[in-house]
Amino acid sequence: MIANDLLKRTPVRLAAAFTILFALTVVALVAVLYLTLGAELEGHIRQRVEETSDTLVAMDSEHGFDALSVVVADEAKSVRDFDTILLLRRKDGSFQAGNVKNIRVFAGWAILDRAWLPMVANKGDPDDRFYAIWKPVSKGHLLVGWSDREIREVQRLLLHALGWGLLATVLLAIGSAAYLARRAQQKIDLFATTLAMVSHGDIGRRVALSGSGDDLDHVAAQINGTLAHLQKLIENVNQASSDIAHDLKKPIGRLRRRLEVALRGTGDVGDMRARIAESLEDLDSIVETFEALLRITQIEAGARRSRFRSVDLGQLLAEVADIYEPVAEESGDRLKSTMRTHANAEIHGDHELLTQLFANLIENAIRHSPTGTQIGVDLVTQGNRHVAVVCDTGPGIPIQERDNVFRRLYRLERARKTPGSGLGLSLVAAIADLHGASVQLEDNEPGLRIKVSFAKA
Amino acid sequence: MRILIVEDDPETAAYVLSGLAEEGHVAEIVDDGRDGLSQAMDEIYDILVIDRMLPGLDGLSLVRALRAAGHRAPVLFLTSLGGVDDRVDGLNVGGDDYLVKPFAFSELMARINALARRPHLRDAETVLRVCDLEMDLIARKVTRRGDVIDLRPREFRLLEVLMRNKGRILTRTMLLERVWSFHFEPRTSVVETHISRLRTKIDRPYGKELIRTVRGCGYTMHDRQ
Repeated sequence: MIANDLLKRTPVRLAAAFTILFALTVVALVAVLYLTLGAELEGHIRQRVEETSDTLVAMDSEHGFDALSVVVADEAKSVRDFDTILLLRRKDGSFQAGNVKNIRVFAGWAILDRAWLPMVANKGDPDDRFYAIWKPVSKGHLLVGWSDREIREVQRLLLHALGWGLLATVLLAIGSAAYLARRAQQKIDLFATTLAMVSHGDIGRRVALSGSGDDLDHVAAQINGTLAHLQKLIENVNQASSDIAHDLKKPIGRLRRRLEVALRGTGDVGDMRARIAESLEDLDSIVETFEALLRITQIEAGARRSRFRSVDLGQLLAEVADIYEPVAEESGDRLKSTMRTHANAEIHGDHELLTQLFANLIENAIRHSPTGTQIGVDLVTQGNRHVAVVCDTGPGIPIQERDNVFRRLYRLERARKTPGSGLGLSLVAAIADLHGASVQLEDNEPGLRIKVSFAKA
Repeated sequence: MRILIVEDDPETAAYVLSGLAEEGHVAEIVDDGRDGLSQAMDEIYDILVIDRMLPGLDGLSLVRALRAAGHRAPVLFLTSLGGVDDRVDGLNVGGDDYLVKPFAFSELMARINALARRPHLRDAETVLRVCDLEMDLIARKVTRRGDVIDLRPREFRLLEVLMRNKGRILTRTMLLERVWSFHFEPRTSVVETHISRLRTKIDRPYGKELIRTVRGCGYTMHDRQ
């Protein structure tokens, strides 16, 4: 159970995988050494056999068969360690000298097992194998062979080294992997407990960063960013719900009074109808507020982004300005677009929502300023951004209120007498956010200058 | 007109039904999407008013199936889903218009009238006429009693929408959508201002008013002498 549970943890799995990988590396390394060293040593042995047999053959041709047979007999006797086999036989096949006998003549190299060799004297290592070759001499044949003991010795050493090396590697790998896995696990556990605390209501809780800047720190930073965003959303929702409740109580109360008066009315149908018509208007404005709230919420959810198309901001602004120019004039103001006509300002966005954004800004300028206000619309390019500007010469917004006006249902003190929901700028902010655009409120000296800055498409 | 209402909320259905009856129309109510589909396939209606969220089969799927089967009857979606995307979805599957609940009955009636008598063939017309007012869609020229009237592009569009729908009421919302592509409620008198400008150009000098205000509802272009 515990082992099973452990194996499910990513760091433990990684550690196990690395241990196996290291072990396999060591085995592969030793295997390569084993094979190359073996081949190298075998070459040496054959060379030594060739050299010895060449010397003896030379002796035969210089001093004759008898001299050779004496030397071979001497050598055979003196070989104590028995790492060499020698056999000199006559043409008729009979034994002349040597430490082995009764071996048939063969062509080329042969590897002879010590166990199967008819030995003259029982000496040497029974595991020996001999690399041997026959050479013709004047009156017969000479066999020279050399044992592979060196190769076996080196191979034995290598296997030994492999055993210990493997043990050391595995222990080290397990040790360090366990250490690293434990550290990673601790961080992951920290994420898990932090998130658990957040889901239990401690929304302000954040994952502690180790400061090492590693990948887990990046994930932690990401988690914290997400949590902060969620916290802001939740606070907005809470704020908005209480604002809505507070804000709608007034019109609903008014509506109720109107209906009550109509109910108690003394039967004048015309009067009653008028009251009901007024009540319907009240209701419509309440519904409108709800719709605007819903719209903001949906825009903030961001699904609309999948419908983004290329939008010519210049053309869009010109259209909106064109629509509102007579409206401004009607209310005694003046709307003037100072855009260059052919400014190509492509951005990626939603035409309908962007239209609403700028319509909202211009309507604010018209509605919240005294008669005779100059309203300006402009589009400038700053680096890789298109900045749409809507400015007016109205009363402006005091610096300390500039953040508040984006809050839902928030209304400036002096605007409370103008009809409106206090949602216009919240909607502007939501649409700008959806487009990754920033909204800046500035002093137009006098009046308000709103800059909406979009990234170029 | 014969109208099919597919609506599962009995109160809304009854409200629409009685309103339509008062206007002299015959309406039938179905409260389930699947029944709505088979009813719409079997019978002939001048217009279908369909709720978006329905038991059995949702409104979008219903209209998609209807259009796939080749049915051309105009569809008006009636819905409490007032989302930014919902309208686009509704029109994409083959709906012709979209009205968000709660709505004023006059708004519904205006939209039903505009849809039901939608002049499919007359879209190909190149000259629109109301009384002595004439609009040449190709030359983009407007004349009244032979005088050429100079209109700005958006005024031209507004007049075109009014003339194409002569005799029918166009609500403020309908004009906002069709003329200015505004899918929101402006807080200034956009419609009134533009209508008033248009009147100054095409009505005032001629003494006979063609654009009429329908109180509490919208505007209409009258072709009666």
